[in-house]
Amino acid sequence: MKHFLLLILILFIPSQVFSKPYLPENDNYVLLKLPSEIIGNKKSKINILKDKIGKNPEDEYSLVELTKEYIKLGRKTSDPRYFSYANLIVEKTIDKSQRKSEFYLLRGTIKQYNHNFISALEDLNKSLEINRHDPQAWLTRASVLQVIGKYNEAKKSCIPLIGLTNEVISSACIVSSTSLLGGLNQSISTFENIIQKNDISSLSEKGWIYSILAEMKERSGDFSGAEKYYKLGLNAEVDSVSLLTSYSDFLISQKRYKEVVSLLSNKSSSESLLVRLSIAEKKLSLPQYEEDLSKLKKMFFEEHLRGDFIHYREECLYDLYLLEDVESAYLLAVKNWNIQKEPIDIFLVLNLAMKANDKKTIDEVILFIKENKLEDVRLNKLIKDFQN
Amino acid sequence: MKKIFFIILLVLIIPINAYAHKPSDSYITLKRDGLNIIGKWDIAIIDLNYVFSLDSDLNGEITWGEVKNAKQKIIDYAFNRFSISLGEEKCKFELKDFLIEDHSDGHYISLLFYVLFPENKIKTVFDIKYNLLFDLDSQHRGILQIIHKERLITTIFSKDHKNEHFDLDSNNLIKTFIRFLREGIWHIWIGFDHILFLLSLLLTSVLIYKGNVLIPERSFKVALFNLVKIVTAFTISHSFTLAIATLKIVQLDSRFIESAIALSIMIASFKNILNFSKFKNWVVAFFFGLIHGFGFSSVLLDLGLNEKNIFIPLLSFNIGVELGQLAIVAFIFPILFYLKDNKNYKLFILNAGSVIIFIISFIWFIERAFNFSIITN
Repeated sequence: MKHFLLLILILFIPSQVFSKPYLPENDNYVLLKLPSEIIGNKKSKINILKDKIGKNPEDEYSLVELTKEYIKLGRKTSDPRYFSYANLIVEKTIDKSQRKSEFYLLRGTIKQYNHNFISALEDLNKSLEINRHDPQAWLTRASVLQVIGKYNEAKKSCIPLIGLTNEVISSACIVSSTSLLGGLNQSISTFENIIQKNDISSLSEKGWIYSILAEMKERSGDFSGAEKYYKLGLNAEVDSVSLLTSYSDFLISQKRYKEVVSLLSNKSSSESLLVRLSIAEKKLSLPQYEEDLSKLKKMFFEEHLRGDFIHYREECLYDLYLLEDVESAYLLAVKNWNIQKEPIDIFLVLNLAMKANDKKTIDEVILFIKENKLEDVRLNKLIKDFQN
Repeated sequence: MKKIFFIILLVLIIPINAYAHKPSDSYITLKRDGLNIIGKWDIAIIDLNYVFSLDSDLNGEITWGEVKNAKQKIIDYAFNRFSISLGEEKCKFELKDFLIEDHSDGHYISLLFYVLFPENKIKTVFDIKYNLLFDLDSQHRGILQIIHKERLITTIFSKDHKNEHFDLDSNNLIKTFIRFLREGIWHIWIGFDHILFLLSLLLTSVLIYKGNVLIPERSFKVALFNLVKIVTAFTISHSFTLAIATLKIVQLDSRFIESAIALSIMIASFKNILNFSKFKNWVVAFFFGLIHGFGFSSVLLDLGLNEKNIFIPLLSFNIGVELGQLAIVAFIFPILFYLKDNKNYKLFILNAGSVIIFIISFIWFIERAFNFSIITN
């Protein structure tokens, strides 16, 4: 079946996919701009660490630090290659390492990025078996558990953070899950109090903290509150792809397409942002839409060619809003729901299951929402409309 | 206000769904162009930069001039990690052009080249080895597409799959048919368990009940009819399960199937020893044939089926199984019919034979069901 679909895909791919190779106009034609972290002569952390490791390949402290730097660069550029480079260091070192707990944590983090959630949890558990006092391991574990819909276990993984890290970080972790477990308004007011009480201006995690608040506010229906925190978050982290993604989802849900276009128009190298930008461009009938759509087609085509496609959520949005292929979008929403259970995943699968009148899936999703006492104004409205 | 202490966390909580594009890939296309085989190989500049540090003026920008300066290094690097070979002999590559191509995640260099086969004879059966970048990036994939007679053959090379054998005309229906027909026959010949099962049923096919006593069947016609019933029932039922399992409509655990096959032989031989069953042999053949069909299917699936064309292999493999089975029956049945009148037939052939078959299948059953090795390593 997979081969058959691939064949269909190949038969119907846009002609741009097989563009012709060309000779650049002149020798100064720029083919790639490197992130400053890896430019050869810069005294960047990566270069310094590579030098140190070159002199002493057994220097485990530097190996751990270099792995972290590659993960950070992967986060910043959203280029999966840097996660591979990080992984290479881990795989070469972990078995003989004296710092196993750190390497397990790093490998778990890389697996989380690659959506290998179950395997990521195994590594994070191994890391915590060796060192139960590492706040990052508990935090990363909590975030993986939350993504796969195990909110209660996520909450439990946040508790040890109290005492291991500051109040803002530990409560950010805790409210992320309690807000999905029937305590939405309580979580918002507790967390707002905590960030008022503490000066968070110097914290490097500001963007993350504001995004948690923004998303909670959005779910509670306080859209102006959500707006405020999204903006604060983006002030703190201008290029955060995840913040831009959730803010543009928020704007799209409010039909504020023009703002989406101005927010994302110069940031379209990322697939998840390009999907959102194209949705807005389509709604506004902008001429740029056709070009961006063909870019997306090429992106998804090349991702599928690899045979290990994992970004069901983005492709679901692409199928639903751009290709308007509801059936295919629904298949992807179900696949995605089987792996990820964040509110947007739940909304997508429930909305499409209702359109498809798939009673079994509707019941399954509603049961999940009820069991967790999950509060979300948009989900609640969806269920209410359906039941009427 | 309390100034909180500063803790450096990686805070990897956010980036889960933030990604720009796919991981590292290279793309190779091979196709016939007149009398030549021409190749096109696209490799990402960002990947080559990781290997060579192409930014020679260290300004953070990699230009076409810098890439051109590294041209020979890039070509040597790439073609040392890719080969097409026919047995011991390798094809040579001749570079035709060195250009730029755009993919969804940025610019790639595009190597256009001729594939030179030994003695200039283009072949359709060869092996390809691909080993680019796996030492640096475990997520790297080499995506190879061969365009052959209007068909597109795609292979994905990865760290765990660096070699692939190609037989470009294997999609030829007659070739496919013959290949799977042979596999079917071969499997019956080496599939000792199916032979023993059939043999257990055949041992009594030349006998007939008179009251509660088995006596030799006088009529060749009647005995043959018995045999036909057994073989037909076995064929119908195993063909059915072979098809549904190969089409993945029903899938069972292979250890369960293998154990059940051993059990089916135990029961068939035990029935001969004790005469305990009122069931006719053809009913037994039909019932257990269902299980043997699953066993045939796992062999067929192990041969690596192209999912686009499953019908021909399924049909020809099945026909092969039937031919193999008929050959065995055609050999054994006349011997049994000849021996049946011997006064020792029941003792030495039927009973002793069944006991031996029972013991063998019992050992298989223990080995397969409990994953325990008694006679085989």
